Amino acid sequence: MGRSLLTLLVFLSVGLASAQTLKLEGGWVRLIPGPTTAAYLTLSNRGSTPIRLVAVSSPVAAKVEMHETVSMDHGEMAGAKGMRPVEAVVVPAKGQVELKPGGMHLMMMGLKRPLKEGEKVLLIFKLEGGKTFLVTLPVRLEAP
Amino acid sequence: MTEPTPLPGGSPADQPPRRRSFWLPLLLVLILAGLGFLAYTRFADRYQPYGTPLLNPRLAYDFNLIDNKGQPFRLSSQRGKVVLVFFGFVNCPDVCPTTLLELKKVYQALTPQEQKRVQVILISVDPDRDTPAVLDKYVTFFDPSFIGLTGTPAMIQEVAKPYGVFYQKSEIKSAKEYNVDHTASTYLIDPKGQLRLIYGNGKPAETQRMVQDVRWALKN
Repeated sequence: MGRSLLTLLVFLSVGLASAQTLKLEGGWVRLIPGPTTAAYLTLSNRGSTPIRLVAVSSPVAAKVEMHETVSMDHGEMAGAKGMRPVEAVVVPAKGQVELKPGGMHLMMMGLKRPLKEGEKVLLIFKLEGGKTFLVTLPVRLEAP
Repeated sequence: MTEPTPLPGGSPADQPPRRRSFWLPLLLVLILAGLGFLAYTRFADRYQPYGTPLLNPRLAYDFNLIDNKGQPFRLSSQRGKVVLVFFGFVNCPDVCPTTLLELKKVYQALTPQEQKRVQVILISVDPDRDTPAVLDKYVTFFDPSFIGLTGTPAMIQEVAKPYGVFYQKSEIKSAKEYNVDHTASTYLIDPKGQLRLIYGNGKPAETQRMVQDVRWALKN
């Protein structure tokens, strides 16, 4: 139900207008106390050219950044975990990219209010080329 | 190999030394194997923990920090309990809540009697932002029994080192806006206060194997 709604939203704003078709699956926003959280989802590209997600924003957060959790590989920090911003999330042609715990995520910083379990959070995705579309993701304790 | 095979009815004097040289080592091997088996079954702890065991268990570094209620906390006050320690911070939206959820599942899979003897602790590697009040909201969200610890940056540094935990700020944008890269292992301290097992990031996801380790540590 939620999934088909997401797909519909994407198709309305992107699919009809271009050869690129982006599909969203299994998205969720992490329920957590505190001012910082993360959103996850799987993006699939049915088209024959890569799609680049270049910016994300949300009315509930001061800022949303695309991040990747990385393992340090040298010196005394070897094995430690850190987060690094990524410039874009690239969904390969006829392929998909999974944003999931321990990997890439949308880091939502400066939450303007505490989120509630089950509520739907609005995110605005901006693709390279200027197209934007809206996504609503449910707030959950962990991945569906 | 080059020695010719003795013919049937050959000199009987050749036989006894041959037999001895064959049976003696075999007997020795059997005795050794028997002793080894006895030692293994009688004295060795046959449980193979899921976590990485310390070759020589040693007392976990004892420390004084401030808990999420603003009270002084000393690790050695937890003797008699299995303590699971993780170093992290509140503004860590991916690795830290994933691990704390994993530890919550482990804790909740234990019986109420066992839970009384198990303590999950988050030590903040971000003492600048993680005040006791901030930590309180955070750790009790996962489970009301979880404890969050903070202190001055110097206090935290002193505790992290002996556990082999490294951390440093990254992506610094302002005094309040930055990330902290940090070692994301979980440490199991036994009821005697010895550091026994270490779990690399992601390992605590195996709830049942973690529960087995905790039960083993409670008995040993």
